[in-house]
Amino acid sequence: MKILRIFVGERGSDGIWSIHLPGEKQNEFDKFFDITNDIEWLHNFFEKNKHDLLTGFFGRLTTSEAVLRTLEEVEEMEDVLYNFAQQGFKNRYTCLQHLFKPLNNFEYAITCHQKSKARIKRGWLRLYAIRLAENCYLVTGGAIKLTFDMKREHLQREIVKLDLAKTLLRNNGIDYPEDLNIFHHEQSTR
Amino acid sequence: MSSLQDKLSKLQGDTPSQWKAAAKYRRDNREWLKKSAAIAVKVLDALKEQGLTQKDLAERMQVSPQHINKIVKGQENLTLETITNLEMALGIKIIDDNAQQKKSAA
Repeated sequence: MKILRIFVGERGSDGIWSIHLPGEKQNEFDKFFDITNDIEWLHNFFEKNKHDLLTGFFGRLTTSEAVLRTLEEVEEMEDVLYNFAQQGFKNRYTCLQHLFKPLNNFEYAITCHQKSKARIKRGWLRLYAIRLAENCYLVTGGAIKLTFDMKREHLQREIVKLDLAKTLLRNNGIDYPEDLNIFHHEQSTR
Repeated sequence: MSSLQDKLSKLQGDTPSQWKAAAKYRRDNREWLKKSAAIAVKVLDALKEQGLTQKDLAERMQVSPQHINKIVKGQENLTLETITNLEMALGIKIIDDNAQQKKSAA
């Protein structure tokens, strides 16, 4: 597995990176935005997951409605990221940490290599990532999450990729989130 | 270079991301891409309802299957002629010109 720089800010440590799995044509970040903008892919996905679409977690929707709703969401999410890519991280009131939240809903503390997700409010699109610093995330993939839990096969695959990325980071000595490293360093030099 | 970026760069692959250019294209062409997406959805719904494949539609319209695939992906800047051919091949209405006329008459 390799990783790729999607965009970085003026400070070298800020930005979005993505994993690139062996045998895949694209990195996971590029792939996520390509498939969620592909009407045929979306239509097939919602046909395949029609049961979840009709069981009402998001209300009963037809395949067509679901496709168009996803397009609105992906547009919003992509705009937020594009603005970061264009404008950088100069505004101290905006950071990637505002977009990415811990994967588990009841996790409130920031931890080392935290599994995280980006989503639009009340949306079903998820971009999964490992938190490396306040403004630095390693994206591992993304999904359309129609269910409350992560039991569906396509969501389980995302969990596996998050774990693979954590292992890659650990095996390469990237052990602590950068800002926690600084904190750790300050503590040890006091 | 920060030490974090330094460490990440050591793991970097050699296929660069195309996302920024793709995202810019989607932003710059947003309005017609939305219309193309709405047409793609109508075509896919019709194919499913009628039990047709993209290849069947390509044969009916005498175009390549690749052209139909581009249409159903919602990436094609369609001409009025192509839209009309789609309507005739599938027996559906994509542009409801009657509704437009009624609106203007009201």
